[in-house]
Amino acid sequence: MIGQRSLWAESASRLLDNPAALVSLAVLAILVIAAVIGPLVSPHQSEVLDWSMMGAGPDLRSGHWMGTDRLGRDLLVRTLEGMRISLAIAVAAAILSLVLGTLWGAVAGYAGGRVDSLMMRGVDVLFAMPTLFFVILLTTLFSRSPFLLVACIGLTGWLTVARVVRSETLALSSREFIEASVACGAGPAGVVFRHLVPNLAGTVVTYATLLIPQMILVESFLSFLGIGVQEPASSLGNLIAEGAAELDAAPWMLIGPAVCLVLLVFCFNYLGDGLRDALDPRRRR
Amino acid sequence: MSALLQATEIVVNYPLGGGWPRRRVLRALRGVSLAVAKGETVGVVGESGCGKSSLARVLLGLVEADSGQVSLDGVAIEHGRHGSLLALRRRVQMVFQDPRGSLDPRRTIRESVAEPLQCLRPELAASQRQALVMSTLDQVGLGRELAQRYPHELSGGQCQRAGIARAIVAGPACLVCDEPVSALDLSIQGQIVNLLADLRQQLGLAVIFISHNLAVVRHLCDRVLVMHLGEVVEEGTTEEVLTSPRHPYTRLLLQSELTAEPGQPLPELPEGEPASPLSPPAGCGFVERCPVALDACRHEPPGVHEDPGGHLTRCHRWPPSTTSINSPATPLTTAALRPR
Amino acid sequence: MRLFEIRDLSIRFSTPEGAFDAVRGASIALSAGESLAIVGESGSGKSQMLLGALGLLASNGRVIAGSCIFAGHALDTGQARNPWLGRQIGYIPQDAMGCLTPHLRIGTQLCELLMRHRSLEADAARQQARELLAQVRLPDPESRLDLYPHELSGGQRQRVAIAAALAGQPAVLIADEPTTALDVTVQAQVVALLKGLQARRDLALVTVTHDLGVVAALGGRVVVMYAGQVVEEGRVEHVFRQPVHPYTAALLAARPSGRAGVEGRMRTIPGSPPQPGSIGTGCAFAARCPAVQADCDQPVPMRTGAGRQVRCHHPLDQQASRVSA
Repeated sequence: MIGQRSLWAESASRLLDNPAALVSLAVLAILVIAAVIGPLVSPHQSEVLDWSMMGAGPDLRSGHWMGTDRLGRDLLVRTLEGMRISLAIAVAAAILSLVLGTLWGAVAGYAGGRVDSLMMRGVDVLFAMPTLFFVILLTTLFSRSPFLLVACIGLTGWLTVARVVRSETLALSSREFIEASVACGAGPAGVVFRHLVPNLAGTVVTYATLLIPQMILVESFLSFLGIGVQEPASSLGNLIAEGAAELDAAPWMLIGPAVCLVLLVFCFNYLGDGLRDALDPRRRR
Repeated sequence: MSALLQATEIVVNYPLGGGWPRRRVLRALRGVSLAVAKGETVGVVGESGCGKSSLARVLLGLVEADSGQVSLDGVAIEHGRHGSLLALRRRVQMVFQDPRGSLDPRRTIRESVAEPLQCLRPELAASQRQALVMSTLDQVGLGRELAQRYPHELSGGQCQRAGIARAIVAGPACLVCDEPVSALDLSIQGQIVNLLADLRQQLGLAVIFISHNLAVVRHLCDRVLVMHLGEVVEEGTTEEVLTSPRHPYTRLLLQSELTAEPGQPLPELPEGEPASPLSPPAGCGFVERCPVALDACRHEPPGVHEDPGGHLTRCHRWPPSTTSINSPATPLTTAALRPR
Repeated sequence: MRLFEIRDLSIRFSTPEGAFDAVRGASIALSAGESLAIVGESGSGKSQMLLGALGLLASNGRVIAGSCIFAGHALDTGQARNPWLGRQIGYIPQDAMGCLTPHLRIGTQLCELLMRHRSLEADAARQQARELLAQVRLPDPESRLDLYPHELSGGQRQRVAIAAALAGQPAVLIADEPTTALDVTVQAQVVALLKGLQARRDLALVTVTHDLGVVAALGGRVVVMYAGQVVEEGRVEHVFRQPVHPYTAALLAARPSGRAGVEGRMRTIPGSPPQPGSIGTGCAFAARCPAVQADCDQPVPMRTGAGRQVRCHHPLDQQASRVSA
């Protein structure tokens, strides 16, 4: 006999049955924990220059496990801090995108008709603007800060979320249980919060895990170009930019941050795929 | 006999996308009237696309009629006013076709069944609500241990019982059932039909039973409406309509029914398909398939004939006396029908 | 000599929730010109049995035992695409819309089948396609060839699906729930069409359905399936008039009829079909059976006699069947 299990519980158990998703989850957990507490417990500090070890390669005895950069700063600490900043910016931007996109999409989808077309045409117009142009414009107008970066990345990411959520809402609205709820006397707010949002949550959670790696890449790209996170703060993007410049002399400067970036993006994508499969109602039987 | 729930001359058109500058519309209902008295069971039969599901949705206020009105206890429902719709839904509830699809997959059976109470009877305390939900689950024969389950953990029959529990929990006077058994297996259909019959008796419910299954309608209903292409083509007591049908479409429906009697020859049916509700013909909607069509049927919409017993027929051929001169070869009499 | 035969087929599905057997040792056999209806409720394994036998099983299903034999040749079962399908064996899937490509005209699709299966030239293929549509009694076949599937009604699409299955000039035609999605008025037309084709072309016709009315109208033999097993088999008129398995009897009694009158209650089968995976070794119907006895938890052998088969420890005799039906 099957015990009482909500769809969430079933999805979780399906996710844990998926080896790729499980490994990704573990790697992500390790990376995130390292990024958060690594710099705190490390004997080195990211902004302290080690005059005796400038541009030194990875060496376990010296304590610089991943080597140092040209200025003698410990690369391990800088990479962990860079990852922390990259992750923080990506997660913040993803949350901004999701909240804005979900609200916009759900309202447009459920309201339908003229409201829907008006709201979605707005999205179309914003989509037509080139992201890079947008960011360069904003960064030259305002002072460069991580908050501005979050705003820039988030404001371009929500458009896709809005589209995805709207189409999902449209599909849900035509389901009989939404109609049944209206027949039970539920008002629009009741329908949206009791039925639409919980049923959208699966899609949104999945989309979030696929959005974060995208955001990491955008942030790194902007930082690589020099319009993202500014020195002396590090992010994966500007670490890679520095590393790329020293590729011949000090390849470890590129390899460490690049591996971290690839691992992060890979694991988030695999986790997202796993979540999508676990939450997909078509796989339920 | 005063009507509990009444719909008068309901017209519903669904606008379809595209077709600019000429907007295409699907003419779902073309002036349908229906009345149900307290404790009465009215069947609505017809093929898919005849508008019977739209009619159910109009009765619940889920779809707004383009013209015509729905009234409850003689009071017209105003679609714009939430209070008016709530009053309607307190007295009229609906059982849906898809047992599992009509329950929110992320909510337990208890939560789904409690929803009408939260919306329609907010004055109840949580404990009263809980007690009412549980006693209703008993009433529909759903074990209390299933209350904490989710729809995907239940069988189709159990889900439909939950759907019925949700419909009756707030104490309605009328139940609109839209094909409540057509998605269920044969061995389960009877259980649900019996449950509806029991509840109707216990609670004194009026029932509007929409189905394409004539056998179930015959079993359950006092009166029958036969719908075709958004119109009621025949209406009367079940006995009269299903044993001595007057409209050729009703006869076609009855003939098409495949009985589980082996060795019976297959019915001789006219070839052809139902006309499209996108472009209903100018005259009678059934003319393309009608074996006894007259010339007038193509051009003029038939009027309604009502005999003293309340038997309504929308056909140029009825009453037969006026038309029998034109084509004596095919008199439309009930004697030609197979006894059923 | 049997033309088409499925022998002791068992199919296992593996799902995240565990493995279950959808079909448990089911057999059917039929000769040329014979009609066989397979009837059962949803989950009885009736469609899966055919899909497995024809090599059309979903990727998480596996044929764990049994075989399928066509004209003396063993077919590859499971997911193997078998070379007879579409040629000597015509298959009409459950979803008539799904088997037609939405962006190609009906004529193009039919011609393609004819050119592939019968090596016809384009002109001859079009001629044949028109012929096929006429055979399935689609009005005005010439102009229908140029329509897209969505421009046809449900009944017309079902006819086109039947025409497509006939393109390879099959000896066996297998129809999976051919009337389920159709309106009552069209159902009877499609049954009449299938029956006519079967007689005219001397086809072996296998029809899967849950509708007892369709079974009765088709005639021939019927196989009743329950919980992945064949529980009763025989000629339709014998099985319907005098069922020997309690499940068949209960199913026949449960069909709605006006006879009970408004006050009467419909006969039902208590309980619901067993969940796949929770079926023991004994009779799967025992839990719902009105005539259950102590030994019903023992494995049930198939009893054969006088053109009929039944899988029951205590088959209903003549008298008992009259009481319960």
